[in-house]
Amino acid sequence: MNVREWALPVYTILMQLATGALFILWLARSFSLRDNLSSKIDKILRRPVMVIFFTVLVAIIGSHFHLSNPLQSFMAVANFKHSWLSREIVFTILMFFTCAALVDQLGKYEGRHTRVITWLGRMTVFFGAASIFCMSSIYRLPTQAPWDDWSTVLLFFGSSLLLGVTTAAALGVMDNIYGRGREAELADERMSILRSSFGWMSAVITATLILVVVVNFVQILAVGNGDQLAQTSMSLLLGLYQPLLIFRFVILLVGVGMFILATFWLVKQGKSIQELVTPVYLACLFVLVAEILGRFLFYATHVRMGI
Amino acid sequence: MSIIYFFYGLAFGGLGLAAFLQYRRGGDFPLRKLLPWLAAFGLITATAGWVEMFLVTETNPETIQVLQYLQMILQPVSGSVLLIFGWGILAKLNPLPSWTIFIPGILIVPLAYVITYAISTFITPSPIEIPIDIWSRYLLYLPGSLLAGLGFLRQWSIQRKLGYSDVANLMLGAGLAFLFEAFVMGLVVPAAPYGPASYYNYDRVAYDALAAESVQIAQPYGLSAWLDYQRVLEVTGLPIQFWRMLSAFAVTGFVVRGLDIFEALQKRQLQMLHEERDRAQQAAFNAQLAARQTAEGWSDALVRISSQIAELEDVDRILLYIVESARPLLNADFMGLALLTQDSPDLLLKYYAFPGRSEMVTEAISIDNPLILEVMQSRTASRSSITEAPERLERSCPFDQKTCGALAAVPLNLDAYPIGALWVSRLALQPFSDTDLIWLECLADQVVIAIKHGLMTSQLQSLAVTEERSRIAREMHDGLAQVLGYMNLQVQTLEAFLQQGKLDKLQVKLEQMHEAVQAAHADVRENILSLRTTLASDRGVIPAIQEYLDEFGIQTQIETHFDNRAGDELELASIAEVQLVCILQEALANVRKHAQARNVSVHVSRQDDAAEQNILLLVQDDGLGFTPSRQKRSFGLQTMTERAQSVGGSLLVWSRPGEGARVECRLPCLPKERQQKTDRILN
Repeated sequence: MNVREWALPVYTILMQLATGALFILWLARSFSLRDNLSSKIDKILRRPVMVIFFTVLVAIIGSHFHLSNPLQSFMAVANFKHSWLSREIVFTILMFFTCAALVDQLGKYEGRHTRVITWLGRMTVFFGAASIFCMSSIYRLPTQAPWDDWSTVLLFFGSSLLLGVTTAAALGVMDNIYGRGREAELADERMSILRSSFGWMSAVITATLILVVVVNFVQILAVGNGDQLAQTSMSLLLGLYQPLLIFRFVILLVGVGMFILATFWLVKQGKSIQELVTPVYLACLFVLVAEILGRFLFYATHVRMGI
Repeated sequence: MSIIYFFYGLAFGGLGLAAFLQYRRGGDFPLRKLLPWLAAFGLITATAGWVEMFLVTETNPETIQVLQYLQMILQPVSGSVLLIFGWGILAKLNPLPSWTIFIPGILIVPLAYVITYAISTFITPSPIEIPIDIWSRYLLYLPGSLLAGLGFLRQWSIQRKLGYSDVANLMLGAGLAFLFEAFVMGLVVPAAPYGPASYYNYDRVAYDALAAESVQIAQPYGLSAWLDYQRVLEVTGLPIQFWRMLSAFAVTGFVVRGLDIFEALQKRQLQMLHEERDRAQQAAFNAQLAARQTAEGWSDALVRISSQIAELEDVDRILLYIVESARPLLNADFMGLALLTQDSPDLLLKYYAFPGRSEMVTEAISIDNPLILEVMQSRTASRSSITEAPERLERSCPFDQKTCGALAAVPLNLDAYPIGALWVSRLALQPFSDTDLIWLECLADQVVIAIKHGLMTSQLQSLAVTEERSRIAREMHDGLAQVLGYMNLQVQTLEAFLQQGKLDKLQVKLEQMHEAVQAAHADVRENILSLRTTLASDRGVIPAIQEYLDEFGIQTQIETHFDNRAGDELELASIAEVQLVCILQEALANVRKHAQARNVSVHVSRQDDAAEQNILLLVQDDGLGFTPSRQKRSFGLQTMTERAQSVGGSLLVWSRPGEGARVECRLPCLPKERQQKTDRILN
C-alpha cells in the first residue's frame, strides 16, 4: 500500500466534505436569519465551522503527501492561467484562509458584524466550490473520453452535497449535545434550527442521490460507447469491480435512507436529539464509505491507483 | 487442536450461560440491560468455537462447506454483539464526559477509509472466508474487546474511588482480560494478501492480489511476525487458539465473578439510597412540621389580634400585643412600630419588643434608619440582603448599640397615606426571607385595622353619648318638664285659691300635686335604675336582671319573683342581651304604670328545638289586664316587638281584663360552632 496513493482521495473527499458541509450550514444560517429563528446563529455555528476549518487543514496536509514537496506548493500560482491543478491549489489555499478568517470572526464578534461573516462564509463556499470544479476539471482530459464530460463535474459536486448534508447534520447533532450543558441559553435555538433544517436537508440529499444515480448511469452508458480504453474501463467496472459498484450504491441508499429516517424521527415523532445520534452518525459513515468507494472505483477503472 | 477449540467454546458458553442466568434472576442494576448482549456474545462465540472444532476433525467436503458458511455468519455476528456490549459497558453504565461526543466524529473519516479498504479486499483472489475472518477481527473483535476492556477499567477506577476494592479488583481483572482478548482475537489474523495482514504475513504472501504478480513487501513498524499464527506458534510453542482459549477463560472467570459482586454492590448502593431517601423524607417531614407549627403560630397570633380588635380593646394594648407576639414568630431580636404624629416631623417609635421586654414608648424617640425611611417614602416593603451596606442597617434597634445584621420593614398606609412603619431586625447576619416579609405585611394590615378601629370606636362613643343625651333630654321634656310645668300651673292655682280663701279646693289641689310629684319621682328613679342596669353589663345579664328586679320591687312596692332556669350564661349575642334587658324594663314599666299589680313574676328559660336554641323571657303580672286588640297602637308594646325582631326574635303579649298580663319574648342563641370559636378565641 502506497501512502502517496491514499493521499489523493483523502484530499479530494475531505475538501468536498468541507465545502458541502459549509454550504449547507450557510444555507441553514440564511434561513435562520430570514425567518428570525435565531439571533445567535453565529454563536451556534462557531464550533461546526471550526471543525470544517480543521477538515480543510487535514485535507491540505494530506494533499502535500501526494504533491511531493510541500515547500514548493506556492509555485502553483505561476501556472494559474494554464493548469487546473494550479487553480485547484490556489482556490484551496484561498478557501483555507477565508475559512480561518471566518472562524476568527465567529469567535471574536459573536452577535456582531453579521454582514462581514455572511460575506466571508459566501467567499469560503465559493472558493471551495471553485476548488472542486478545478479538481474535477483535472480529469477532463481529451485522452480520457469518459472523463471529458460534464458528468464528471456534476458527480464531484453531487458527492460534495451528499457528504455536506450528512456531515452538517452530524456536526449539528454533535454540537447540540456538547453545548447542552455549557450553553443552556442556546439549547432551544439549536433545537429549532435542527428541526427546521432537517426537512429541507432531506429534500436536498434525496434530489442529489437521484442526480448522482442518473449521472452515473449516463456515464456508464457513455463509457460503454467510448473508445478501446473506455471499453477496458467498462469491462473492469462491470467485471472485477461490479460487486463494489453495487455495494457502493446500496450503502449510499442505506445512508440516505437513515438520514431520512432521522428526519422523520426528529420532525414528525419529536424524538430527542440523543436518539438521533446513531442514525445521523451511521448516515454520515455510510455516505462517506459510499463516496470513498466511488472515488476508488473512479480511479481504479481509469488510473492504476494500487489500492 | 479440537480439545483446545472444545474448551474455548466451553469457556465462552459458560460466560453466555452465566450472563443469561444472571439476566433471568432479575434486578434493576444498570449492567442488567447489557447482559443479553454478553450472553449472546458468549453463546455465539462458543458456537463458532465448536464449529471450528468440527472443521478440524471433519473430512466430508460438503459438511466442511456448510460449517464454513456457518462460521462466516457466526464470526461477524459475535463480533458485532461484542462491539455493542463493549460500547454499552463503556458508555451506558456511567455517562461519559460531553466532549466524548466528538470522538466518533473525529474517527468517522479514518473509519470510513478503513471500511472502504476492507470492502475492496473482498474482490481479491483469496477465499472469501479469509477477509470475513480478518475484518471481523479488525473491525469488530478488536474495537469491541478494546471498548469492553476500557469499560471495565473505567468501572475499576470508579469502584476504587468509591472504596469498593473487592469489586474494583474484579473489574481490573475483567478489563485486562478483555484487552488480552483484543490482542489475541482482534490483532492476530490469518495470512492474507493485503494489508495490514500482509505486513506480518509477508513470507506467506508473495504476490499482489489485484495484479496477481510477485511483489516485495516491506516490513515496517516492527509488528511483523508477532501477529502471525505461525510466528505465535514458533515463539510460544502453543497455537494462537490456545491463547484465545486462555483469554476466554480469563474473561469468563472475571466477568462471571464480577457479575455477582456487581449485583451485590448495586444492592448495597440501593440500600444506601433507601437510607438516604428515608433521611430526606424525615427531614422533609420535620420541615413540614416546623412550617405547620409556624403557620399555626401565625394563625393564632392573627386570630388573637383580630379578636382584640373586634372586642374594641384599647388600641395601645392591641399594638403592643402585635409587636410582642410577632417578634418571636419572626425569629427577630427586635421589633418596632413607629408612627408619624402631628406633634413632630419625625417618625417616632411608639411600641417595641425585644427578648424579655416590650412596652409602649412615651418619650419621643426618632427613627432615622435609612432603610425604614426608604420603606416609608416608597410605601413598599423591603428587606436587607446578605450584602447590605452596614450603614443602612444602623439605628434600627434604638436600645442596642450593636448594628444589626438583617432588617425587614413594611410601611403602614392608612387610606393610601403613610402613617408609620413596622420592622424587625436580627443581630446575626441572617437575612429575612420573602415569607417573613409577607407575614410582616399581614401584621402591618392588622396594625392599620386596629388604628382604624380605634378611630371609629372613639367616633362611635361620641355618637352614643350624644344620642343618650338626646334621649335623656327627651325623657326630661316628656316627663319631668311636663310635671314641673303642671306644678307651676298648680302653684298659680293654689295661690289664687289661697287669696280667695278657698281652703277646701286648696286641699284637693295639694293632694293632686303630691300625686304628680310622686309619679315624677317614680319615673326619674326608674330611669336612673334603667340607665344603671343597661350600662352596667360587666356583671352579666342574669345578675343585672336580679338586681334590677330587687330595686324595682323596693321602688314600686310590687312583689317581684325571679325564676332563672337558663343558667348564668344565656349564650346570646351582646346586642341581644342589651335588647333583652330593655324589653324587661319596658314590660315592668308598663306593669308599674298601668297594671296596678301586686305581684310580677319574671321567668328566664332555654328552649331547644332541632333548628336552634332560644332564650324565653316571661313577664307575668296579676294586675288589671287589658284587651290586646285595643292596645295595638301602644307605643311601648310596639317598641318591645321591634327590639325583639331586631335581633331575630319575637314577642307575644297575652292579657285579659281582670286576669293580668303576660309578655313572652323569644331571642335566638348564638350557633354552637360560633360559640366554640368565640370560646377558643377568648381562651
